[in-house]
Amino acid sequence: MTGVKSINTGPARRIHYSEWYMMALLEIELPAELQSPQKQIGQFIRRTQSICPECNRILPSTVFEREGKVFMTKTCPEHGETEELYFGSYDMYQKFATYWSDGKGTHAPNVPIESCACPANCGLCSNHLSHTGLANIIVTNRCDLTCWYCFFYVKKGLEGAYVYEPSLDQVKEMVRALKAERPVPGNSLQITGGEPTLRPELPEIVKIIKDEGVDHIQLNTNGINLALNPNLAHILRDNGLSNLYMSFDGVSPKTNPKNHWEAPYTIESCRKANLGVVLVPTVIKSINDHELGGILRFAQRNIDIVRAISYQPVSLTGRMKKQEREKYRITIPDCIERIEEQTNGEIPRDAWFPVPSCSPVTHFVEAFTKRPQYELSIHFACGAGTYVFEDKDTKKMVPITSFVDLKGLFEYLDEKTDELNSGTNKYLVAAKFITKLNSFIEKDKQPAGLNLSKLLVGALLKHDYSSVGQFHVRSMFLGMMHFQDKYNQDEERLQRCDIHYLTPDMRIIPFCSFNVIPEWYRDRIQKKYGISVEEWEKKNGEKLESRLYRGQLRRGKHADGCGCSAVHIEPITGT
Amino acid sequence: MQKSIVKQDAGSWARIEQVTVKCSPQKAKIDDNLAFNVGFRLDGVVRRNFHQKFWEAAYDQHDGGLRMAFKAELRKSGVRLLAKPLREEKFVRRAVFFWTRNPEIPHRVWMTVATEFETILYPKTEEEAREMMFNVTRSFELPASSLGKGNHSLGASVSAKWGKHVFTERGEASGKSPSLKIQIE
Repeated sequence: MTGVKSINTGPARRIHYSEWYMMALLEIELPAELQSPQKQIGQFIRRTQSICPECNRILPSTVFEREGKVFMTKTCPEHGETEELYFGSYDMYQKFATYWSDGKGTHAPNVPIESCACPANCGLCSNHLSHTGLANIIVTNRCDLTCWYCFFYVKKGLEGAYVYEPSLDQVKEMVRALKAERPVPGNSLQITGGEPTLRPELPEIVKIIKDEGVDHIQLNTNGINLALNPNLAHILRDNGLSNLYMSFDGVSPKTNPKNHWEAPYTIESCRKANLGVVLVPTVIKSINDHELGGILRFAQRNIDIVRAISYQPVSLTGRMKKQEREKYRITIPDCIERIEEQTNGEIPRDAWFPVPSCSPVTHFVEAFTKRPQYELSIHFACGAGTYVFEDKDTKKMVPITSFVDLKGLFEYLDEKTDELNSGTNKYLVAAKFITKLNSFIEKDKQPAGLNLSKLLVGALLKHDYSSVGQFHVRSMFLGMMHFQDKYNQDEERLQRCDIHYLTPDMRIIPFCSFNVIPEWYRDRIQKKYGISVEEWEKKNGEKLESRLYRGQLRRGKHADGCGCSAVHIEPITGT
Repeated sequence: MQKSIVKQDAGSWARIEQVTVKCSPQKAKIDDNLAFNVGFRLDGVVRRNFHQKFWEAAYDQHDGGLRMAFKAELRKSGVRLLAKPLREEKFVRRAVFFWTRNPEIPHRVWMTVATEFETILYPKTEEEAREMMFNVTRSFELPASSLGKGNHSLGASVSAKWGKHVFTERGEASGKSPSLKIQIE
């Protein structure tokens, strides 16, 4: 699977006797009152629940601040304490937390249970708080690459390796389960893998999903097969694909060995097919966190077809010692700060808002229409985003916050929602809204060609989303999504997860259960509905490794406009 | 201490109590900056109903919080109906009801208080939650020169406004502080 990655170091390492000795010594030396995790922490923030990274036991955990950062600590009676960086900036945590808003949940759960048992019994249960924002459907777990940090492809020779490829009928049924969600039927779906383009029936799968009424379909891919076969982009677009969600980890061959040479060809294929591209860097501290600005510059150079960047701080699966975790661990605020540094302040940290900051908009539309609406009600620590526009003259990226008072607008929408819910005439509220709206937008700073107030009135009051297209003209969405792992797992976050997996047993499983506890979910499902590698090879008359990418596009010079040109880019000034 | 009763058509009632205004220093020079602290508390049904059972009842009907919009004004005392206030501030406190995973809270639904998308507070008890929401202190700074030399009598007017929720009708309340004497040389 591309886009969502983790570092997996395999089984636990043996602890050297000297480490045991030190641990024992610490236990002897620590006064009893300091052995309680609550006594050792910095400034207390909140209590929540998590799991033991060793045995999955549900544990009480404490979120606390120390030296300007937010940490989580939990203690398993059997496996001891785990302390982990939770959020790299306490200031940003505070700001993001104020947008907390629980969602409507789903009224058609597939796992009805009385009392919450997170993270067991996911599927969705009646206690889940967010409807599906984006559903993943795995169409194969085969991949044509073997990335060292990826947890999501079938490896030959491993015990219990299964090829999982749901049938077209199963795909159809899974999509129907998504559309049956209430009060908000799922309407956004990602085809993922492995590498989904290895599945010859992919165009048919896209068509099935479209025919079932899903509006937004994206393809999570490394893009290599679209580089090799540009016609595939046309076919997929014609069948209903909305955009590519393409792994893109850096702008140099070292940071992005996966598709550095191929990505420019893939982008060109998509350009010709008018198929939008979202770049998806998995961000690993000390590996590629110095190229986040370069990735943005690369995207800017292809802004006619690159619609968004979705930075994904790595999740650390497998068992990993604390020093290793500290080496690789990066969180949303850390990425935001690096982007600010690496764009010379063009995208400042204040430009970013947590995903649930959209809630005032949703609540306003719900109060106006009296109908439940699609809502991004994930936990504030899960994701962040902003919009950036390219200034026609200076070619600099301009974040939306430089010409819109978003905080003021959200506050105003909250106020109007209160009025609507209290019985004020909706046409009166609409009139006030239209009159007031311009005061939040500095028109002279607004990028040329964009009329944001017109767009907002159209979308919020008339529900006319056709004008939203102009929002994307020379603009990009910058997003950030930090998937959890067993070290930083927070049940509060899990319960609000809106990125889900559709499975052939008709369950809809939150991402951070499916992948954080694969032994309960992902592996079990793939084993149940997959076939052994040997069986797959016999059935298909080919070896699993025969589809591995052999680097055909790497035998030559770098492509024109490849990421290398963005490595040392100064801010583009003038034309 | 002055009180005001919320409009009866709100179907509920509340009052603002203990409106105070303090100034430091009360004897100042013309070049000084004056620091004002306006404090008050909102009392009545909206406060009394603000407890865990109602939070949970509201939460279960997707009524996820309470937004209190406050206004505090600093005015010269006397009959000056059309006079502009010396300072006026509008601010908001939002209670957010959420499904807690805190094992130390013996309830499913608890709340936090968010202040103007800047900070968040986690109360440990219901009483603490009420204090965070309804006991308000607001600070102003004002150059003494904006008042001019001489003796002045100042007062604070405050108001609160909220919408309809499971546990309250929409309503508003207002109050005034006693006068405060300030001398500027």
